[in-house]
Amino acid sequence: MADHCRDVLFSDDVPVVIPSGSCTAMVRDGYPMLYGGAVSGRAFELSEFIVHQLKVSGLTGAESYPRRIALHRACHGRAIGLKNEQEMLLASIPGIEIVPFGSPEQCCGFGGAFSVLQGKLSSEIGLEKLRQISDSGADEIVSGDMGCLMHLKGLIEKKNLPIRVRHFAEILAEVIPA
Amino acid sequence: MSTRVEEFARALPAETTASVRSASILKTDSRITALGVSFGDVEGARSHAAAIKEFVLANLGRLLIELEANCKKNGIHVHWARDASEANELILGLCKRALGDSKVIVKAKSMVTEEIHLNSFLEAQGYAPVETDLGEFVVQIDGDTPSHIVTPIIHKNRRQIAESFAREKIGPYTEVPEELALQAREHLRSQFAAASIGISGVNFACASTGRLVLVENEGNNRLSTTVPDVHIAVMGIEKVVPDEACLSLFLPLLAGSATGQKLTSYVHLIKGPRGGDESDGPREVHLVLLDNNRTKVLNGHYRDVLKCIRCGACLNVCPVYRQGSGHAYGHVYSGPIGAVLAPAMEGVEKLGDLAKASTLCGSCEEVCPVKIPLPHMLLQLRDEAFRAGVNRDGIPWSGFVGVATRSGIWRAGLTLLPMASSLPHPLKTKWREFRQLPQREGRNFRRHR
Repeated sequence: MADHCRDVLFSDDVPVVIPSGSCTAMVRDGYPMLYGGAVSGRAFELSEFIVHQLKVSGLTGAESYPRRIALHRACHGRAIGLKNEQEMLLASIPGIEIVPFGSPEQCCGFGGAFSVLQGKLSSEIGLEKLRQISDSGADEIVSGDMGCLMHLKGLIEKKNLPIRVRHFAEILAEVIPA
Repeated sequence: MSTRVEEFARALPAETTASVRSASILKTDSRITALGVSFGDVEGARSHAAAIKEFVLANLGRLLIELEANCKKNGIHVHWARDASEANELILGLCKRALGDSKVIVKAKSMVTEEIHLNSFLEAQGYAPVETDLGEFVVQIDGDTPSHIVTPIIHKNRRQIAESFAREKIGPYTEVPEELALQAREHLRSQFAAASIGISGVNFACASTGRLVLVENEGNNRLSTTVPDVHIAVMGIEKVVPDEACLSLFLPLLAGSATGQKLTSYVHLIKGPRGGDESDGPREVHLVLLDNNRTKVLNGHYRDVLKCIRCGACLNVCPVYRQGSGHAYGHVYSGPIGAVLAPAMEGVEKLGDLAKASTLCGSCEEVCPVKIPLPHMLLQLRDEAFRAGVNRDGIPWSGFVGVATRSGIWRAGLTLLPMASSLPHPLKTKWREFRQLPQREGRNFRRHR
């Protein structure tokens, strides 16, 4: 599987931009374990790429996004050294309100295989995250990791909770004029 | 494969999780405040502490010899114990020699004596060890075990404690914390008076001066180590520190990380037995230096885990610990530190599944005062356990692994992926126990190329 990704994504000498911290961590930390250090330097998480490679720290001329969002900082962002890049980009969108919520440092409970093999722990940790966010009055949960979003969305749909999840890239795509 | 932590969590009453979670959140928050007050540069303080602990591990043999020599100069008897049973026998020998008619032994809170199961050993020999730390006291009267290395009854609420006190006739039923503390105080005073031996752990042992450092908040350590004629201190060999200058770093770092305090209410520096001109204090002080697999750990992949100062911050911040409680780990040491320390000491064959009881979120490493790379070690343990034939996940993954590890088959399989969402699979069933499955949106990422 990694062989395939390596062949497809890393055969040209161009940056590879990845919309998930966990995938970035795999390429950056996992691939060197598999192949030696060859591919890791060109892999960037999306917000990391925008802020540090493109040197864009905010959007100009973006359309308004009048929603209250809770920004869940995915744990694998921590693992690859992300700081507030996603928050910086989102905060520059007119109309958006980033609301604080309790225990923001806590994991959403996904954890890869952990989510299916230890489903009770995983789902209860996720539901606690959803409780903290619901209490904040946010309309949407925004994150930068597909794993967290898939897990939280699955819990929300199972419990019919009145909140939705979005990847921050979806919001950027929506507010940046064509 | 599920783990013991998952199985335990499935049966755990919501009330227990609520107790653990609310206390953990409180301690995680107060930790940040306290460390910020104590250190302008918290990150620098953690790096400094990690460096000192690295020095200790690199020079452990020499520091222990130095500690032994200086303790002896101070009049402390030093004993070496290879494992739990040697330590227990040694302590039993001291008890037999020191105890008169009374079989009462007062104990200050000590995780290392939990590790060697000293209480049950002494009880089987006809002695009556009495836990004098309020939390440990409740654990003892309930026939329970500590569920946290710093706050043993984090899994209980005040109503449960009130019921235990009333049941044991410690005093009339009350749920007021101050009244419960007073009842325990009155009950325990007579035990301190009756005991001729006090047993404690050690937080730091200073090699250059031979002084033993103990921190606490209740004053029971002071009574346990000064009222009885004999004080026996038990410590894991990794608790030695080079000198007393480093206490100015470690004391606030431990207090801040463990209980969100600038300093604990009491800090004891114990030099030895009472001097000829002193009217109180123990007549004998013994120090038991315990290995119990620590040397094995020191020489292996997980040596950094020996830097641990037992603050419990990694337990408090861990989402799995908060959900499952310390008892879920089935070991004296729980949470992220326990999930590494326990299998590192006792083997992955027996305890390797604990490494899977983690989402690898990394928050444990972020709060560790001595920067132990716990997530990395959990990964290493998973790898080691897998190679040792434990932790195999079995059928649900085997098909996936079979395909994903053969790149030709994987490539071919990708073209069939749209069909996969309609096939049944055990992993889907497991996912759906708690969540909806994501729906395919119909687009094909690969065609965009």
